[in-house]
Amino acid sequence: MSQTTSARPAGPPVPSGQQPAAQHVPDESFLTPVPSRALLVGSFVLALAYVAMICFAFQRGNALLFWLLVVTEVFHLAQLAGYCHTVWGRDRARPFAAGFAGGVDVFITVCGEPVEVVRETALAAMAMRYPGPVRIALLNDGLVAKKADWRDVEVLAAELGIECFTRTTPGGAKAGNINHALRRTENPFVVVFDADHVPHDDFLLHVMGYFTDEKTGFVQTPQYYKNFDENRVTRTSWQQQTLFFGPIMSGKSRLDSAFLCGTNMAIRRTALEQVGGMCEENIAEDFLTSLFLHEKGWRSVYVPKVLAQGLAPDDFLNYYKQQFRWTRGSLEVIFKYNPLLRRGLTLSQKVQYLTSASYYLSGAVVLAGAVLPIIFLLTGQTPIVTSTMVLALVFVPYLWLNLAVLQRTSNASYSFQAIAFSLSAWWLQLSALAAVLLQRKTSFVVTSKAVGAGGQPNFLRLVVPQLVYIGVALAALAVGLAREGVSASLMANTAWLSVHVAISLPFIAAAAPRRARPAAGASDGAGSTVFDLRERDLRDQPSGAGASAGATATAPALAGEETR
Amino acid sequence: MSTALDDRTLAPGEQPGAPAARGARAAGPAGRLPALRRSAGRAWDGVEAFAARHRLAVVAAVQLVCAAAVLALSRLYFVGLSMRLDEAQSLGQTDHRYSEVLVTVAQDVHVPGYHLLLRTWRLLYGTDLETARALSLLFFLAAIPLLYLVARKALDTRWSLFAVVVFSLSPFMNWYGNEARMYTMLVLVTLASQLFFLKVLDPAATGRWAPWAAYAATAVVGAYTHYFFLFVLFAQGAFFLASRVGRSWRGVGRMAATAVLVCLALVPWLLYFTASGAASDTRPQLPSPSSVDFSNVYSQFLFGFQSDAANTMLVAAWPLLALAGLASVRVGVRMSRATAYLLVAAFGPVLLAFAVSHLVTPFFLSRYMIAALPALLVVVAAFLRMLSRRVGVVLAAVLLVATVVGTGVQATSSATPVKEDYRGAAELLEAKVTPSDLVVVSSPFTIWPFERYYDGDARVVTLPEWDRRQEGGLPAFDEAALPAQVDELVAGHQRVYLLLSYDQGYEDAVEQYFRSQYQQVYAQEVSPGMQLVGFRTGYSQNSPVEDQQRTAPRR
Repeated sequence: MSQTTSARPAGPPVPSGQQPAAQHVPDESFLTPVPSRALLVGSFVLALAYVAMICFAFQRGNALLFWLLVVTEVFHLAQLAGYCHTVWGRDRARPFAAGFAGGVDVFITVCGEPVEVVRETALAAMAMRYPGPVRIALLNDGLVAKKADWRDVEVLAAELGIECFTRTTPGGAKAGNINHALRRTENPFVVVFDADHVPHDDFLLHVMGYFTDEKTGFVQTPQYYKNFDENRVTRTSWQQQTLFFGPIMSGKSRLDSAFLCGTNMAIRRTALEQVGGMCEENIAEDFLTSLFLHEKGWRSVYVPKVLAQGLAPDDFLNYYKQQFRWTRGSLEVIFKYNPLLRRGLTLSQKVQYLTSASYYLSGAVVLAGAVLPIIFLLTGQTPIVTSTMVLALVFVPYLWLNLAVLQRTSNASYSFQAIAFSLSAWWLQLSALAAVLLQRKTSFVVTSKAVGAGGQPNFLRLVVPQLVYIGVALAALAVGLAREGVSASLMANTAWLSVHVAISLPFIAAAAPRRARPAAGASDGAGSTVFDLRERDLRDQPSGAGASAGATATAPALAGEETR
Repeated sequence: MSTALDDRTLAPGEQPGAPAARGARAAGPAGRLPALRRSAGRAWDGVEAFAARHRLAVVAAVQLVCAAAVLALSRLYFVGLSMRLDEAQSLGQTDHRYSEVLVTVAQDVHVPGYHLLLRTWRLLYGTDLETARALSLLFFLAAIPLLYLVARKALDTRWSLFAVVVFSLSPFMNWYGNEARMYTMLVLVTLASQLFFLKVLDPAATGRWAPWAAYAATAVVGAYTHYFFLFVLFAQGAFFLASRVGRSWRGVGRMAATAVLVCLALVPWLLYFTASGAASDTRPQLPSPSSVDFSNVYSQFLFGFQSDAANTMLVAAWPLLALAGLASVRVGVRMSRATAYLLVAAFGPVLLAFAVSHLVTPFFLSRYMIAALPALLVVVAAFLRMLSRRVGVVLAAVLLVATVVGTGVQATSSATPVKEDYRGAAELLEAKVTPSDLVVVSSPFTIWPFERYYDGDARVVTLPEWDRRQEGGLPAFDEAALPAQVDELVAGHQRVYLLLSYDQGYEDAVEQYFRSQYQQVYAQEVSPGMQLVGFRTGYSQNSPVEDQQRTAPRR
């Protein structure tokens, strides 16, 4: 896949004095996952042994708790199997034409982002090298989303000499925005960037050549967060991304199941038109559109190379909203477009879509596991009756091997913080599940965002369920101590509670208020923010407002819990 | 070192450093804390800079201090403890000529390397218990620098020294460093073997003969130190092969040659051992190990021999291992080959022993597994190093405190389960018995340590009755024959004192029989697992029994 063709400038000439900013040099080690089949097999065999022991080897305790435990362990086993299936091998070689020169429409989706952010992305897009025709357009949704600065985007487009499509009729959120632009353009290929994802100048050279295969429907590249080291939230977001855009997407690509991630992607227009454009019915429009494209027999390619640099959610609220959006979109896929029932998908694709989407059911599973020690402490009831050490002899190696698989396959790009965030999102996932089942549209309304560089308002309201869990755990501990006295069972369950509480601490800490970095002339209270964190019914509001980033990736809680 | 004060804005012309104190004073009490932190940080930086400049001196100094601590612990707590059963065996077996040492060891369940050394040592320096224990202490002291060298293959200097400190203060190591048995020799040889194994594992050294020769030599010595060492070799062989899969097969031939050499070296002994009856009559009856026994190995490695209640609580906290696993997942942290091997060395041999104990014959005792202890400590240090610095340092401090407390409690508590106070039992009996009484020792082989101390007036017998002058091993227990045996033993005696320890599965039957037949007049738990129970068996005023001790106490 060498790139030897010399390419001319892709878009309109970049105005003098306005050059794209120098790009941060990313660490791409996460893109070289190290599959180890021996580890994968060992991990799965141990997991199987553990589940078999739970099911058959021990005397059963409380029937309800027993079956609850069985369901959670089977879910984990299924997730692990899915993960092993995904990361079993490296992606295969694909046909690639270095001199490919099909015409490209570059869409930069904008919905209220600061105009300077949009400018940087637009300038970088204009600087892309490519031997074929390129047309760059800003897809301005600021008007329909009632953003005050929507006109600035039009002014910017005029200034840069690129096109701007401003929607006047709302609907379909980001998918609607893209479809609106599709109807006004005609190049055979479409490339989409979020307003805050700045492409490298060789983006097209590394991506478009894969369309030499007539069956290639779309090509996806990683999302890289150049602000990953800004704070705890950006760091953790990024670490979660690395697992998805490292081993998982590479594995999915091998299985022709790589899906669109909302930005940094190229799509064949005919393929998109065949499925009616980007799907507007789902909040995770890219995920569902990918499913429809695969269903029609189009192939997908994932290019494991950082070709654009974006921004991570920089505070807890944005992270929470992003996760909620992905969760809800994925769960809707399960309940409305169940991949197992879709014709046209291969078995691998069905498994991959189901595994990815069902990851978001893990909130219920995590909660079930977390309440078991509380139930014991309060009532003395247990799912199984056994020597706790027998369980330990199987469980500890199983877990450690699972974690070794995670570290190995992610090329040591994952972290405890990322795991903790994933495991602590159980309330978010349960909320999303309820919203899907009740067909209730929800979002989190933000009334102000300025808080000062490096600062964060108080988002502890978002982690009240985790705080309640800690409170209930302490109360249960007191009850258990009063009933049991100091016993081995009490100690074991206290240790379990400690594990669950320790896992929730990074999540809670990320939601806690953070002071802005001291700046000259600024007091600590400057720019403090008031947020309305209530969930609101959005039936009367433009959907997806403020959601410029498409559904992309989060990370598995542990190896085997695959997600997107 | 970064501190909160580093971020403050300096006034024009202000120099970092001195003004911090001014700022702190101006800020009042709230400002003094960062100033203190800054001072502490500077002091620590100074220590680190000194340590970096004089690394070798620091390493040597820490090891010397550790050696001094080992010696101090020995003198303060351990060397004065009563002889244990195993020690009595060691002394008994090495009281004889070299040829007889081989005979007695062949009738036991061990290989003769340590016993031959101990025989020589006692000939050179003295035959008493303290001298015999000093050999084990010497092995322990020699193991300290070797542990450092092994740890350095996986860790930096600082964490290697931490591993050395924990190793030196380890309750488990200090216990066996003061026992006249082969366990610290096993640790020493294992460390030497691991050091050379890590050298041959290094692709740069795989082709050189010297490390292979050293590795093979330690393998042979280890095989003659303890049978468990073979599991260490199995783990090394498996790791070596696994590390070669998909890469170069270089060195596999030499590893195979080492295996052949060890087998050939063991053949003469195994033939001799088999010809001597394969210890079929003398080996202790051990139960099949349970999951609790397995976890106890590691809790004892880390926290020593604690009371059952304390140990149960420690082991029950195992879910924290899940948290430890999760916490070890960190960006950019990859396990080195040396750490991976040490992980295998810490768990592989014990798992193998556990499996063999279930599949072949039970021999699962935590002291046999001691070869896995140094690797475990290095792995724990490697784990702590993987954590964020602050968490790692805090947990390291917790481990160190737990180690020290564990050693202290183990040394001073009367509830320490491995304490065998045969001296105390002998002293109790000496003060209590008359010539008309009888002392019955069960299990029979516990007479070895008891008779080293006992100098009382009453006769001593074993139950089942064991005449050591005759050929053959331990007598089997026959519950049906128990009444007749007891009747014969107690006839003519006013009181019988049962000294019960090392239950071989019939202790309860013996005690219950005596309780059902005679009036209990005395009961005392001398040490954990060792009971002294007295019964009144006769009421006549006749003269005491004839002076025919079947098992005469030694002086």
